[in-house]
Amino acid sequence: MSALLNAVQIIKSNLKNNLFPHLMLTLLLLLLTPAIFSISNLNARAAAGPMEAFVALSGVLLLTPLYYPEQKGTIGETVEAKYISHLQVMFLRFLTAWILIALAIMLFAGIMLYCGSSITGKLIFGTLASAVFLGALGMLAACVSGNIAVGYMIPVIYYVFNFAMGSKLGNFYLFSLMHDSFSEKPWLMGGGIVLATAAFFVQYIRMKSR
Amino acid sequence: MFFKECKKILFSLPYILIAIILVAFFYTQFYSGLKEDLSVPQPNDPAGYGIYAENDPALIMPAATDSLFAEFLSHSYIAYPQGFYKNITLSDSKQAQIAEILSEITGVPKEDFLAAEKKERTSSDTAVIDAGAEAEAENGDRYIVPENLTEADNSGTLDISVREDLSYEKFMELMDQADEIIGGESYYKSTSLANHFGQIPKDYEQALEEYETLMESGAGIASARLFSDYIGIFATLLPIFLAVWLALKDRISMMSELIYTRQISSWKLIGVRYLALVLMVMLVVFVLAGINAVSIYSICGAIDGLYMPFLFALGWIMPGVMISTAVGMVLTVLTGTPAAIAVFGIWWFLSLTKGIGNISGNYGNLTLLLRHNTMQNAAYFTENLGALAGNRIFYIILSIVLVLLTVYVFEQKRRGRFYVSIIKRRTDYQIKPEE
Repeated sequence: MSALLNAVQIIKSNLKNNLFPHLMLTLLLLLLTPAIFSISNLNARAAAGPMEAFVALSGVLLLTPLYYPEQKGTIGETVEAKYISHLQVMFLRFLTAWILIALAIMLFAGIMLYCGSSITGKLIFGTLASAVFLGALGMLAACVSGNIAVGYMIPVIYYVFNFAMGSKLGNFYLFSLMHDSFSEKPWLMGGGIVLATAAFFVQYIRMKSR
Repeated sequence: MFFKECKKILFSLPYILIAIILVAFFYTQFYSGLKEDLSVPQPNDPAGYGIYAENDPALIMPAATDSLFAEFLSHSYIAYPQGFYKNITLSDSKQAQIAEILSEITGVPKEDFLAAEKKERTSSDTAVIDAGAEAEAENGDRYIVPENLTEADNSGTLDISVREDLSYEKFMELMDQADEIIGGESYYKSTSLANHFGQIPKDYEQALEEYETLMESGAGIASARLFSDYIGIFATLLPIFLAVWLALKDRISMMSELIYTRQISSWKLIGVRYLALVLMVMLVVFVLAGINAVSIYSICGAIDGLYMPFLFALGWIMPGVMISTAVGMVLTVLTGTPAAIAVFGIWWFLSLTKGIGNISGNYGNLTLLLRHNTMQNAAYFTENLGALAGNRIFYIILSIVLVLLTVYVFEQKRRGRFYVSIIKRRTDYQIKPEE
């Protein structure tokens, strides 16, 4: 019971002190999307445009800064001195961000559905896969470099390269649903989980080796 | 101090990544096609000679009218306001305005267009029944659908050929009106008409003529324009990461407060860092400009204008590097967060996507990213040189203003003022006396 209460406390604290500004940016991203893309009366392929090209960026906004607090000064050392395992804290943060990304995607998908667009389970999963992959890429880059700027740089560059390279990126092409192909999405989700796990351990080793 | 900052940047991970990305982009997007772009076209080339947009009214007017009529009937217009597909549905009053435009183009009364649209809407609401299929009549009897029930009633088909007495100037004016009603960046914008409705394949003679024009106007300057177009895209985006990295580095390593107490003036510290950041990014750009110049020499020989890639790097690309670095510094010093990446990233993305419709020449409206994604179109460059210069001077001045603002903010922070927080922090930390 106390473990559950601790978990709730960690999640609350993370939302308030770490994720809040990033969550606001994510909402801004969702609000900006209809100004750039059409979201009404779209078939499944056209609906992939706003979802894959814009809503998926929520992954970069919510996952990349996950371990940013520990990068600042002596906060890392303070956290390390706490009784609760930092591994547990990191995992709960990841889970919270993951759920928030899924909620943001489903919220936007719901709005598009209300506006008469065709929203499928594949589209929701596909957008989530792209978001998790981009975000996990940022997480790993931030953990390896120890600087959040590099963490944002890598997924943004990868995202831009997707426009230039297109389907040449093979199974890791982010915008495949715009071209009616779903087979890339399990790879992106799997790749995202692998990258996030790697980030998890890099951060853990970094904390331990202080 | 300047060289220390340069050294720190040179061996940093973001700088190495920036250099790799710029070099990779240079080779894949620009360098790989350079030889082909500057080679004499050969007769009977099986790959063809590409396509070009011909501003031919005889080709454009009927095609654009057909397209506008089809979109009017479907009550749905395609536009690319930010470079992305947008499906626009117009209100009834705006549909009536489009009908009026179609009427002016074809001479068919506006009411006929509105009636055709109404009929189209009604028929699309009715379920389609295949001939030979079994259907149920209102009284419940089942019957086989006869052939004649599935055929469209063509008796009301409109003749939408363009009026013979309509001038191309008037046609373009009407198309601009339609574009404005749709909301802009549709297929009917007069400057985009040739691109959408006037594309035809080039033949050998045209390709040869184009090549000769290119050589006359200067291969060096044409290549430098294309180089600046490609490299400018990433050279404008990437410095933001480097600037944020450097500004956050002090904070992460707990050096900010220590630096605040040093004797060095804020002017010197911020100025030197800014110069080091801009210079180090430009160093990579100059190396690539050098490779470009050497390549032109190896393909075309000792022609005039081999120095052009360097001149364009300074005049075209550097203001982009300057503004990106300045935004990164001012917002990071002000907020102590990487918010600059989101702000500048969105600005850059919108500028890139908005300019997608005019990549062969776009210097106007203070656009962040200048576009000239072709070796051709020298006339656009000559005619709009003033706009190009104005655009770049604006960004140089804006960058200097932002750097001055950074110095001011930094100075205030040294004095313990100007704390900006995104989240409201607790301020009741004082221990209150026990009552």
